[in-house]
Amino acid sequence: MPLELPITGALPAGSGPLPLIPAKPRGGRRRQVWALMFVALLALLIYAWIDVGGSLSQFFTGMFGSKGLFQNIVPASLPPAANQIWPGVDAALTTFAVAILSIFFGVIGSVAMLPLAARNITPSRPLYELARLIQAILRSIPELIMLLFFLIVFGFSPFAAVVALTFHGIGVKGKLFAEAVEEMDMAPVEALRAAGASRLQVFLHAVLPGVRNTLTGLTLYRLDANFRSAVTLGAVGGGGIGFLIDNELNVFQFRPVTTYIIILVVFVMAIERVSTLLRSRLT
Amino acid sequence: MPFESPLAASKVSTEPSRAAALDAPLVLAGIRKRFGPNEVLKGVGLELKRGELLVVLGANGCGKSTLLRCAIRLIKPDGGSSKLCGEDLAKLEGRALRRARREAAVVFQQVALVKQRTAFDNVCAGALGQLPLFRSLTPGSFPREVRERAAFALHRVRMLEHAWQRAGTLSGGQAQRVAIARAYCQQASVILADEPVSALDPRAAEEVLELLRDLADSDGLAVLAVLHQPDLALRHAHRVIGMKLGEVAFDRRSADVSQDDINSLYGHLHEA
Repeated sequence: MPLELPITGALPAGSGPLPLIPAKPRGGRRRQVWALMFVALLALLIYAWIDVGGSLSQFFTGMFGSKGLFQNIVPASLPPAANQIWPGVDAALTTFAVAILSIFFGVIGSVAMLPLAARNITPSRPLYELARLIQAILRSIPELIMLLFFLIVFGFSPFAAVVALTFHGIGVKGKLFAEAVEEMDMAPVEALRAAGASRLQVFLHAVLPGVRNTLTGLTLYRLDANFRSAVTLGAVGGGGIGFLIDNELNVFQFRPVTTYIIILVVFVMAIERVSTLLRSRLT
Repeated sequence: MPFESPLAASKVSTEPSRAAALDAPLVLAGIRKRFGPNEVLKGVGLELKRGELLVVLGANGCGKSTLLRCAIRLIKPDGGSSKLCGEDLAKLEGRALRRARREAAVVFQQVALVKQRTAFDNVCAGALGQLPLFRSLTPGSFPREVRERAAFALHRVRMLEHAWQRAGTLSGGQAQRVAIARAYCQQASVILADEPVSALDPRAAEEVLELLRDLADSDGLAVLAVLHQPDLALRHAHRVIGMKLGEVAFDRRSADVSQDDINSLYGHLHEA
Protein backbone atom coordinates (compact mmCIF):
# COMPACT_ATOMS: atom_id res chain seq x y z
CA MET A 1 0.00 0.00 0.00
CA PRO A 2 2.06 3.00 -1.21
CA LEU A 3 1.60 6.35 0.50
CA GLU A 4 1.53 9.64 -1.34
CA LEU A 5 3.67 12.48 -0.04
CA PRO A 6 1.68 15.62 0.74
CA ILE A 7 2.99 18.38 -1.51
CA THR A 8 3.46 21.66 0.32
CA GLY A 9 5.89 23.52 -1.96
CA ALA A 10 6.55 23.79 -5.65
CA LEU A 11 8.52 20.93 -7.16
CA PRO A 12 11.75 21.92 -8.90
CA ALA A 13 11.32 22.25 -12.62
CA GLY A 14 11.93 19.11 -14.59
CA SER A 15 11.44 16.71 -11.74
CA GLY A 16 9.19 13.92 -12.85
CA PRO A 17 6.27 12.42 -11.02
CA LEU A 18 6.51 12.41 -7.25
CA PRO A 19 8.26 9.32 -5.90
CA LEU A 20 6.16 7.14 -3.67
CA ILE A 21 7.35 5.94 -0.29
CA PRO A 22 6.85 2.21 0.01
CA ALA A 23 4.46 1.21 2.77
CA LYS A 24 6.09 0.62 6.15
CA PRO A 25 6.30 -3.10 6.71
CA ARG A 26 4.24 -4.17 9.70
CA GLY A 27 6.42 -5.89 12.27
CA GLY A 28 3.96 -8.63 13.12
CA ARG A 29 6.01 -11.21 14.98
CA ARG A 30 8.55 -8.82 16.49
CA ARG A 31 5.79 -6.69 17.96
CA GLN A 32 4.24 -9.76 19.58
CA VAL A 33 7.59 -10.72 21.08
CA TRP A 34 8.01 -7.24 22.52
CA ALA A 35 4.49 -7.25 23.95
CA LEU A 36 5.08 -10.62 25.54
CA MET A 37 8.37 -9.46 27.08
CA PHE A 38 6.67 -6.34 28.42
CA VAL A 39 3.91 -8.34 30.11
CA ALA A 40 6.46 -10.78 31.55
CA LEU A 41 8.56 -7.91 32.93
CA LEU A 42 5.49 -6.30 34.50
CA ALA A 43 4.52 -9.58 36.16
CA LEU A 44 8.05 -9.98 37.45
CA LEU A 45 8.08 -6.46 38.92
CA ILE A 46 4.73 -7.01 40.67
CA TYR A 47 5.90 -10.31 42.12
CA ALA A 48 9.13 -8.66 43.34
CA TRP A 49 7.25 -5.75 44.92
CA ILE A 50 4.98 -8.11 46.86
CA ASP A 51 7.89 -10.36 47.78
CA VAL A 52 9.90 -7.56 49.43
CA GLY A 53 6.80 -6.25 51.20
CA GLY A 54 6.81 -2.99 49.31
CA SER A 55 4.44 -0.34 50.58
CA LEU A 56 4.17 3.25 49.40
CA SER A 57 2.56 4.50 52.60
CA GLN A 58 5.36 2.91 54.61
CA PHE A 59 7.89 4.63 52.39
CA PHE A 60 6.37 8.06 52.98
CA THR A 61 5.95 7.68 56.76
CA GLY A 62 9.49 6.33 56.95
CA MET A 63 10.90 9.26 55.05
CA PHE A 64 8.70 12.20 56.04
CA GLY A 65 6.55 11.09 59.05
CA SER A 66 7.03 12.46 62.58
CA LYS A 67 9.35 9.59 63.48
CA GLY A 68 10.82 9.41 59.96
CA LEU A 69 14.22 10.20 58.51
CA PHE A 70 13.82 13.91 57.90
CA GLN A 71 11.82 14.91 61.01
CA ASN A 72 13.52 12.66 63.49
CA ILE A 73 16.98 11.42 62.48
CA VAL A 74 18.33 14.32 60.45
CA PRO A 75 17.84 16.88 63.26
CA ALA A 76 19.41 14.47 65.74
CA SER A 77 22.44 14.14 63.46
CA LEU A 78 23.29 17.82 63.34
CA PRO A 79 25.68 19.42 63.86
CA PRO A 80 28.38 16.80 63.17
CA ALA A 81 30.40 15.91 66.26
CA ALA A 82 33.70 17.81 65.95
CA ASN A 83 35.48 15.72 68.58
CA GLN A 84 35.08 12.64 66.36
CA ILE A 85 37.10 14.01 63.43
CA TRP A 86 40.46 12.49 64.39
CA PRO A 87 39.12 9.15 65.54
CA GLY A 88 37.15 9.08 62.29
CA VAL A 89 40.16 9.89 60.10
CA ASP A 90 42.23 7.35 61.98
CA ALA A 91 39.61 4.65 61.37
CA ALA A 92 39.23 5.66 57.71
CA LEU A 93 43.01 5.21 57.33
CA THR A 94 42.64 1.70 58.74
CA THR A 95 39.93 1.04 56.16
CA PHE A 96 42.23 2.41 53.45
CA ALA A 97 44.98 0.10 54.71
CA VAL A 98 42.60 -2.84 54.34
CA ALA A 99 41.76 -1.76 50.78
CA ILE A 100 45.35 -1.22 49.66
CA LEU A 101 46.65 -4.48 51.18
CA SER A 102 43.84 -6.54 49.68
CA ILE A 103 44.41 -4.92 46.29
CA PHE A 104 48.14 -5.70 46.52
CA PHE A 105 47.72 -9.36 47.44
CA GLY A 106 44.82 -9.65 45.01
CA VAL A 107 46.98 -8.40 42.13
CA ILE A 108 49.73 -10.88 43.04
CA GLY A 109 47.23 -13.73 43.13
CA SER A 110 45.56 -12.67 39.88
CA VAL A 111 48.83 -12.27 37.97
CA ALA A 112 50.04 -15.60 39.31
CA MET A 113 46.92 -17.25 37.86
CA LEU A 114 47.24 -15.45 34.51
CA PRO A 115 49.45 -17.99 32.69
CA LEU A 116 46.70 -20.56 33.23
CA ALA A 117 43.59 -18.38 33.16
CA ALA A 118 44.01 -16.72 29.75
CA ARG A 119 42.80 -18.92 26.92
CA ASN A 120 45.42 -17.75 24.42
CA ILE A 121 48.47 -18.61 26.56
CA THR A 122 47.28 -21.46 28.77
CA PRO A 123 49.27 -24.68 28.44
CA SER A 124 46.16 -26.85 28.56
CA ARG A 125 42.42 -26.46 28.26
CA PRO A 126 41.53 -28.30 31.50
CA LEU A 127 43.92 -26.08 33.52
CA TYR A 128 42.32 -23.04 31.95
CA GLU A 129 38.84 -24.26 32.86
CA LEU A 130 40.00 -25.04 36.40
CA ALA A 131 41.53 -21.58 36.88
CA ARG A 132 38.41 -19.88 35.55
CA LEU A 133 36.20 -22.06 37.77
CA ILE A 134 38.19 -21.12 40.88
CA GLN A 135 37.86 -17.46 39.94
CA ALA A 136 34.13 -17.82 39.34
CA ILE A 137 33.65 -19.42 42.75
CA LEU A 138 35.72 -16.74 44.53
CA ARG A 139 33.77 -14.07 42.67
CA SER A 140 30.34 -15.43 43.42
CA ILE A 141 30.80 -15.69 47.19
CA PRO A 142 30.20 -12.10 48.36
CA GLU A 143 33.07 -10.63 50.38
CA LEU A 144 30.65 -10.15 53.29
CA ILE A 145 29.94 -13.87 53.50
CA MET A 146 33.64 -14.67 53.19
CA LEU A 147 34.35 -12.29 56.04
CA LEU A 148 31.86 -14.12 58.29
CA PHE A 149 33.99 -17.25 57.86
CA PHE A 150 37.30 -15.47 58.37
CA LEU A 151 35.97 -13.73 61.51
CA ILE A 152 35.56 -17.19 63.01
CA VAL A 153 39.12 -18.10 62.05
CA PHE A 154 41.00 -14.85 62.66
CA GLY A 155 38.69 -13.11 65.17
CA PHE A 156 37.24 -9.62 64.80
CA SER A 157 39.99 -7.64 63.07
CA PRO A 158 40.80 -5.64 59.95
CA PHE A 159 43.11 -8.49 59.02
CA ALA A 160 40.13 -10.80 58.49
CA ALA A 161 38.72 -8.16 56.13
CA VAL A 162 42.02 -8.09 54.20
CA VAL A 163 41.89 -11.84 53.71
CA ALA A 164 38.24 -11.81 52.63
CA LEU A 165 38.74 -8.93 50.18
CA THR A 166 41.90 -10.51 48.77
CA PHE A 167 40.14 -13.77 47.89
CA HIS A 168 37.10 -12.03 46.47
CA GLY A 169 39.41 -9.67 44.54
CA ILE A 170 41.29 -12.59 42.98
CA GLY A 171 37.96 -13.73 41.58
CA VAL A 172 37.16 -10.30 40.15
CA LYS A 173 40.60 -9.07 39.04
CA GLY A 174 41.67 -12.53 37.91
CA LYS A 175 38.85 -12.52 35.36
CA LEU A 176 39.42 -8.91 34.26
CA PHE A 177 43.17 -9.53 33.88
CA ALA A 178 42.67 -12.76 31.94
CA GLU A 179 40.28 -11.03 29.56
CA ALA A 180 42.84 -8.26 29.01
CA VAL A 181 45.43 -10.89 28.04
CA GLU A 182 42.97 -12.63 25.74
CA GLU A 183 42.50 -9.38 23.83
CA MET A 184 46.19 -8.54 23.50
CA ASP A 185 48.27 -8.46 20.31
CA MET A 186 49.72 -11.97 19.98
CA ALA A 187 52.41 -11.15 17.40
CA PRO A 188 55.22 -10.52 19.94
CA VAL A 189 54.20 -13.68 21.82
CA GLU A 190 54.55 -15.78 18.67
CA ALA A 191 57.85 -14.11 17.88
CA LEU A 192 59.42 -14.98 21.23
CA ARG A 193 58.05 -18.52 21.06
CA ALA A 194 59.70 -18.87 17.67
CA ALA A 195 62.96 -17.59 19.17
CA GLY A 196 62.91 -20.58 21.52
CA ALA A 197 61.82 -18.77 24.68
CA SER A 198 60.16 -20.90 27.35
CA ARG A 199 56.57 -20.38 28.43
CA LEU A 200 57.56 -18.40 31.49
CA GLN A 201 60.03 -16.28 29.51
CA VAL A 202 57.35 -15.49 26.94
CA PHE A 203 55.01 -14.54 29.78
CA LEU A 204 57.57 -12.24 31.39
CA HIS A 205 58.86 -10.60 28.21
CA ALA A 206 55.89 -10.43 25.86
CA VAL A 207 52.62 -10.97 27.75
CA LEU A 208 53.23 -8.91 30.92
CA PRO A 209 54.77 -5.85 29.23
CA GLY A 210 51.98 -6.00 26.65
CA VAL A 211 49.17 -5.79 29.20
CA ARG A 212 50.99 -3.87 31.96
CA ASN A 213 49.13 -0.61 31.35
CA THR A 214 45.74 -2.27 31.07
CA LEU A 215 46.28 -4.19 34.30
CA THR A 216 47.43 -1.09 36.17
CA GLY A 217 44.34 0.77 34.95
CA LEU A 218 42.04 -2.04 36.07
CA THR A 219 43.74 -2.18 39.46
CA LEU A 220 43.35 1.55 40.07
CA TYR A 221 39.75 1.27 38.95
CA ARG A 222 39.16 -1.48 41.50
CA LEU A 223 40.80 0.52 44.31
CA ASP A 224 37.80 2.68 45.14
CA ALA A 225 35.46 -0.29 44.82
CA ASN A 226 37.69 -2.09 47.31
CA PHE A 227 37.63 0.87 49.68
CA ARG A 228 33.84 0.94 49.71
CA SER A 229 33.73 -2.83 50.27
CA ALA A 230 36.20 -2.41 53.13
CA VAL A 231 33.82 0.08 54.80
CA THR A 232 30.97 -2.41 54.59
CA LEU A 233 33.13 -5.22 55.93
CA GLY A 234 34.16 -2.92 58.78
CA ALA A 235 30.55 -2.67 59.93
CA VAL A 236 30.36 -6.47 60.22
CA GLY A 237 33.52 -6.77 62.31
CA GLY A 238 36.35 -5.87 60.00
CA GLY A 239 37.26 -2.69 61.94
CA GLY A 240 37.93 0.72 60.51
CA ILE A 241 35.38 3.42 59.93
CA GLY A 242 32.56 1.00 59.11
CA PHE A 243 32.95 -0.43 62.60
CA LEU A 244 32.70 3.04 64.22
CA ILE A 245 29.55 3.87 62.24
CA ASP A 246 27.93 0.61 63.24
CA ASN A 247 28.83 1.13 66.92
CA GLU A 248 27.37 4.63 67.14
CA LEU A 249 24.22 3.66 65.26
CA ASN A 250 23.62 0.82 67.71
CA VAL A 251 23.40 3.35 70.55
CA PHE A 252 21.51 5.91 68.46
CA GLN A 253 24.37 8.46 68.54
CA PHE A 254 23.76 10.14 65.21
CA ARG A 255 26.05 13.19 65.45
CA PRO A 256 29.33 11.22 65.39
CA VAL A 257 27.92 9.18 62.51
CA THR A 258 27.47 12.37 60.48
CA THR A 259 31.14 13.17 61.03
CA TYR A 260 32.17 9.69 59.90
CA ILE A 261 30.02 9.87 56.81
CA ILE A 262 31.52 13.20 55.79
CA ILE A 263 35.01 11.72 56.24
CA LEU A 264 33.94 8.70 54.23
CA VAL A 265 32.67 10.78 51.33
CA VAL A 266 35.87 12.83 51.30
CA PHE A 267 37.99 9.66 51.26
CA VAL A 268 36.02 8.00 48.47
CA MET A 269 36.07 11.13 46.34
CA ALA A 270 39.80 11.63 46.91
CA ILE A 271 40.56 8.02 45.97
CA GLU A 272 38.42 8.33 42.85
CA ARG A 273 40.18 11.52 41.83
CA VAL A 274 43.67 10.15 42.35
CA SER A 275 42.87 6.90 40.55
CA THR A 276 41.36 8.77 37.58
CA LEU A 277 44.38 11.06 37.45
CA LEU A 278 46.85 8.17 37.54
CA ARG A 279 44.89 6.24 34.93
CA SER A 280 44.90 9.20 32.55
CA ARG A 281 48.70 9.31 32.83
CA LEU A 282 48.99 5.68 31.76
CA THR A 283 49.52 5.84 28.05
CA MET B 1 72.38 4.11 31.62
CA PRO B 2 75.11 4.24 28.96
CA PHE B 3 75.63 0.97 27.20
CA GLU B 4 78.76 -0.67 25.96
CA SER B 5 80.22 0.55 22.68
CA PRO B 6 79.45 -1.57 19.66
CA LEU B 7 83.19 -1.79 18.96
CA ALA B 8 83.71 -3.64 22.20
CA ALA B 9 80.83 -5.87 21.21
CA SER B 10 82.43 -6.72 17.90
CA LYS B 11 85.09 -8.61 19.83
CA VAL B 12 82.40 -11.02 20.92
CA SER B 13 82.91 -13.78 18.47
CA THR B 14 79.84 -15.41 17.01
CA GLU B 15 80.50 -18.91 18.31
CA PRO B 16 80.82 -21.33 15.44
CA SER B 17 77.79 -23.53 16.02
CA ARG B 18 77.56 -27.09 14.83
CA ALA B 19 75.66 -25.51 11.95
CA ALA B 20 78.74 -23.76 10.69
CA ALA B 21 80.16 -27.02 9.50
CA LEU B 22 77.12 -27.71 7.41
CA ASP B 23 76.89 -26.30 3.96
CA ALA B 24 73.09 -26.29 3.86
CA PRO B 25 71.65 -25.49 7.29
CA LEU B 26 68.05 -25.94 6.18
CA VAL B 27 66.95 -28.84 4.01
CA LEU B 28 63.26 -29.50 3.39
CA ALA B 29 62.08 -32.63 1.65
CA GLY B 30 58.60 -33.71 0.62
CA ILE B 31 56.74 -31.36 2.98
CA ARG B 32 53.00 -32.00 2.80
CA LYS B 33 50.24 -30.14 4.60
CA ARG B 34 46.49 -30.25 4.30
CA PHE B 35 43.96 -27.92 5.94
CA GLY B 36 40.63 -29.71 5.75
CA PRO B 37 39.90 -30.39 2.09
CA ASN B 38 42.70 -28.07 0.90
CA GLU B 39 46.03 -29.64 0.14
CA VAL B 40 48.20 -26.57 0.65
CA LEU B 41 51.61 -28.22 0.25
CA LYS B 42 52.00 -31.21 -2.05
CA GLY B 43 55.48 -32.39 -1.25
CA VAL B 44 57.79 -29.38 -1.31
CA GLY B 45 61.56 -29.65 -1.01
CA LEU B 46 64.30 -27.08 -0.97
CA GLU B 47 67.87 -26.56 0.17
CA LEU B 48 68.99 -23.34 1.80
CA LYS B 49 72.75 -22.76 1.73
CA ARG B 50 75.04 -20.74 3.97
CA GLY B 51 75.60 -17.19 2.76
CA GLU B 52 72.56 -17.32 0.53
CA LEU B 53 69.46 -15.15 0.30
CA LEU B 54 66.74 -17.36 -1.11
CA VAL B 55 63.39 -15.80 -1.96
CA VAL B 56 60.16 -17.75 -2.33
CA LEU B 57 57.63 -16.14 -4.67
CA GLY B 58 54.06 -17.13 -5.39
CA ALA B 59 50.48 -15.95 -5.48
CA ASN B 60 48.36 -15.69 -2.36
CA GLY B 61 47.36 -19.12 -1.15
CA CYS B 62 50.12 -21.00 -2.96
CA GLY B 63 51.49 -22.19 0.39
CA LYS B 64 54.59 -20.01 0.84
CA SER B 65 53.84 -18.91 4.39
CA THR B 66 52.66 -22.37 5.38
CA LEU B 67 55.91 -23.79 4.04
CA LEU B 68 57.91 -21.39 6.18
CA ARG B 69 55.89 -22.27 9.26
CA CYS B 70 56.19 -25.98 8.57
CA ALA B 71 59.95 -25.60 8.11
CA ILE B 72 60.42 -24.83 11.81
CA ARG B 73 57.26 -26.62 12.93
CA LEU B 74 55.29 -23.62 14.07
CA ILE B 75 52.77 -25.72 12.14
CA LYS B 76 53.12 -29.49 12.18
CA PRO B 77 53.39 -30.80 8.62
CA ASP B 78 51.50 -33.96 7.62
CA GLY B 79 54.58 -35.45 6.05
CA GLY B 80 58.13 -34.86 4.87
CA SER B 81 61.24 -33.87 6.74
CA SER B 82 62.75 -30.58 7.77
CA LYS B 83 66.44 -30.80 8.63
CA LEU B 84 67.64 -27.73 10.51
CA CYS B 85 71.40 -27.92 11.00
CA GLY B 86 71.26 -31.65 10.57
CA GLU B 87 68.43 -32.30 13.05
CA ASP B 88 65.12 -33.52 11.69
CA LEU B 89 62.55 -31.34 13.43
CA ALA B 90 59.74 -33.73 12.49
CA LYS B 91 61.19 -36.27 14.93
CA LEU B 92 61.53 -33.87 17.90
CA GLU B 93 59.06 -32.79 20.56
CA GLY B 94 58.88 -30.36 23.48
CA ARG B 95 62.17 -29.20 24.92
CA ALA B 96 64.33 -30.87 22.30
CA LEU B 97 62.30 -29.22 19.55
CA ARG B 98 62.65 -25.83 21.21
CA ARG B 99 66.39 -26.30 21.50
CA ALA B 100 66.77 -27.35 17.88
CA ARG B 101 64.55 -24.52 16.69
CA ARG B 102 66.89 -21.90 18.13
CA GLU B 103 69.05 -22.38 15.04
CA ALA B 104 66.35 -20.59 13.06
CA ALA B 105 65.22 -17.03 13.74
CA VAL B 106 61.95 -15.73 12.35
CA VAL B 107 61.07 -12.24 11.12
CA PHE B 108 57.31 -11.83 10.84
CA GLN B 109 55.06 -9.98 8.44
CA GLN B 110 53.43 -7.73 10.99
CA VAL B 111 56.09 -6.28 13.22
CA ALA B 112 56.09 -8.52 16.25
CA LEU B 113 57.89 -6.30 18.76
CA VAL B 114 56.74 -5.66 22.32
CA LYS B 115 55.60 -2.07 21.84
CA GLN B 116 55.93 -1.04 25.48
CA ARG B 117 59.60 -1.98 25.67
CA THR B 118 62.63 -0.28 24.19
CA ALA B 119 64.20 -1.37 20.92
CA PHE B 120 67.20 -2.57 22.93
CA ASP B 121 65.15 -4.76 25.28
CA ASN B 122 63.32 -6.23 22.28
CA VAL B 123 66.62 -7.16 20.65
CA CYS B 124 67.91 -8.74 23.88
CA ALA B 125 64.76 -10.88 23.96
CA GLY B 126 66.08 -12.69 20.88
CA ALA B 127 68.55 -14.42 23.18
CA LEU B 128 65.88 -15.66 25.63
CA GLY B 129 66.07 -19.19 24.29
CA GLN B 130 69.70 -19.45 25.40
CA LEU B 131 69.22 -17.97 28.85
CA PRO B 132 68.29 -19.75 32.05
CA LEU B 133 65.16 -18.38 33.69
CA PHE B 134 66.95 -16.61 36.53
CA ARG B 135 69.03 -14.54 34.09
CA SER B 136 65.95 -13.50 32.20
CA LEU B 137 63.43 -12.43 34.83
CA THR B 138 63.56 -8.79 33.71
CA PRO B 139 65.45 -6.96 30.94
CA GLY B 140 67.75 -5.68 33.72
CA SER B 141 68.98 -9.19 34.50
CA PHE B 142 70.18 -10.03 30.98
CA PRO B 143 73.88 -10.94 31.10
CA ARG B 144 76.43 -8.44 29.84
CA GLU B 145 77.35 -10.65 26.93
CA VAL B 146 73.77 -10.58 25.63
CA ARG B 147 73.58 -6.81 26.06
CA GLU B 148 76.77 -6.37 24.08
CA ARG B 149 75.50 -8.67 21.38
CA ALA B 150 72.21 -6.73 21.23
CA ALA B 151 74.07 -3.42 20.91
CA PHE B 152 76.10 -4.88 18.07
CA ALA B 153 72.98 -6.21 16.37
CA LEU B 154 71.37 -2.76 16.54
CA HIS B 155 74.54 -1.25 15.14
CA ARG B 156 74.42 -3.84 12.37
CA VAL B 157 70.92 -2.73 11.29
CA ARG B 158 71.85 0.96 11.77
CA MET B 159 69.36 1.47 14.58
CA LEU B 160 71.79 2.00 17.45
CA GLU B 161 70.80 5.64 17.95
CA HIS B 162 67.20 4.51 18.51
CA ALA B 163 68.18 1.87 21.08
CA TRP B 164 66.29 3.47 23.98
CA GLN B 165 63.21 4.40 22.01
CA ARG B 166 60.08 2.41 22.83
CA ALA B 167 59.28 0.00 20.01
CA GLY B 168 55.76 1.38 19.70
CA THR B 169 57.15 4.75 18.60
CA LEU B 170 59.30 3.42 15.73
CA SER B 171 58.27 3.71 12.09
CA GLY B 172 57.40 0.52 10.21
CA GLY B 173 60.77 0.27 8.50
CA GLN B 174 62.70 0.99 11.69
CA ALA B 175 60.65 -1.54 13.62
CA GLN B 176 61.25 -4.24 11.02
CA ARG B 177 65.00 -3.55 11.19
CA VAL B 178 64.83 -3.93 14.98
CA ALA B 179 63.00 -7.23 14.46
CA ILE B 180 65.87 -8.32 12.20
CA ALA B 181 68.33 -7.26 14.89
CA ARG B 182 66.43 -9.44 17.35
CA ALA B 183 66.74 -12.37 14.93
CA TYR B 184 70.47 -11.58 14.59
CA CYS B 185 70.84 -11.49 18.38
CA GLN B 186 69.42 -14.99 18.53
CA GLN B 187 72.68 -16.14 16.83
CA ALA B 188 70.80 -18.55 14.62
CA SER B 189 72.34 -19.95 11.43
CA VAL B 190 69.09 -19.52 9.53
CA ILE B 191 66.86 -16.48 9.26
CA LEU B 192 63.33 -17.01 7.97
CA ALA B 193 61.39 -13.93 6.94
CA ASP B 194 57.65 -14.16 6.28
CA GLU B 195 56.66 -11.31 3.94
CA PRO B 196 58.92 -8.96 5.89
CA VAL B 197 58.23 -5.91 3.71
CA SER B 198 54.54 -6.17 2.88
CA ALA B 199 53.65 -3.44 5.38
CA LEU B 200 56.48 -1.11 4.35
CA ASP B 201 56.87 1.71 1.84
CA PRO B 202 59.11 0.99 -1.18
CA ARG B 203 62.19 2.65 0.26
CA ALA B 204 61.96 0.90 3.63
CA ALA B 205 61.33 -2.36 1.78
CA GLU B 206 64.49 -1.81 -0.26
CA GLU B 207 66.51 -1.19 2.92
CA VAL B 208 65.20 -4.31 4.63
CA LEU B 209 66.11 -6.50 1.65
CA GLU B 210 69.56 -4.92 1.37
CA LEU B 211 70.01 -5.76 5.01
CA LEU B 212 68.90 -9.39 4.58
CA ARG B 213 71.24 -9.74 1.60
CA ASP B 214 74.06 -8.26 3.63
CA LEU B 215 73.46 -10.72 6.48
CA ALA B 216 73.87 -13.51 3.95
CA ASP B 217 76.93 -12.00 2.24
CA SER B 218 78.87 -10.70 5.24
CA ASP B 219 77.78 -12.97 8.08
CA GLY B 220 77.31 -16.13 6.08
CA LEU B 221 73.76 -16.57 7.39
CA ALA B 222 71.28 -18.63 5.41
CA VAL B 223 68.31 -16.35 4.75
CA LEU B 224 64.96 -17.49 3.41
CA ALA B 225 62.41 -14.78 2.63
CA VAL B 226 58.84 -15.15 1.43
CA LEU B 227 57.99 -12.15 -0.75
CA HIS B 228 55.18 -10.72 -2.83
CA GLN B 229 57.33 -8.39 -4.91
CA PRO B 230 59.06 -10.16 -7.86
CA ASP B 231 61.13 -7.06 -8.70
CA LEU B 232 62.58 -6.86 -5.18
CA ALA B 233 63.29 -10.59 -5.27
CA LEU B 234 65.12 -10.46 -8.59
CA ARG B 235 67.19 -7.47 -7.52
CA HIS B 236 68.35 -8.78 -4.13
CA ALA B 237 68.12 -12.56 -3.97
CA HIS B 238 70.84 -15.01 -4.93
CA ARG B 239 68.24 -17.55 -5.84
CA VAL B 240 64.48 -17.55 -6.39
CA ILE B 241 61.98 -20.35 -5.91
CA GLY B 242 58.57 -19.98 -7.52
CA MET B 243 55.66 -21.79 -5.90
CA LYS B 244 52.35 -22.56 -7.53
CA LEU B 245 49.42 -24.48 -6.05
CA GLY B 246 51.49 -26.08 -3.33
CA GLU B 247 54.38 -27.17 -5.52
CA VAL B 248 57.73 -25.79 -6.60
CA ALA B 249 57.29 -24.34 -10.10
CA PHE B 250 60.91 -23.28 -10.61
CA ASP B 251 64.12 -22.95 -8.64
CA ARG B 252 66.78 -20.77 -10.34
CA ARG B 253 69.53 -18.25 -9.74
CA SER B 254 67.80 -14.87 -9.81
CA ALA B 255 69.75 -13.82 -12.92
CA ASP B 256 68.21 -16.76 -14.80
CA VAL B 257 64.60 -16.07 -13.87
CA SER B 258 62.62 -14.91 -16.90
CA GLN B 259 59.51 -12.78 -17.08
CA ASP B 260 57.64 -15.89 -18.27
CA ASP B 261 58.59 -17.64 -15.04
CA ILE B 262 57.12 -14.78 -13.04
CA ASN B 263 53.97 -14.63 -15.16
CA SER B 264 53.45 -18.36 -14.77
CA LEU B 265 53.14 -17.90 -11.00
CA TYR B 266 50.46 -15.25 -11.04
CA GLY B 267 48.92 -16.07 -14.39
CA HIS B 268 46.46 -18.74 -13.34
CA LEU B 269 44.51 -16.17 -11.34
CA HIS B 270 43.62 -14.37 -14.55
CA GLU B 271 42.91 -17.52 -16.50
CA ALA B 272 40.29 -18.56 -13.96
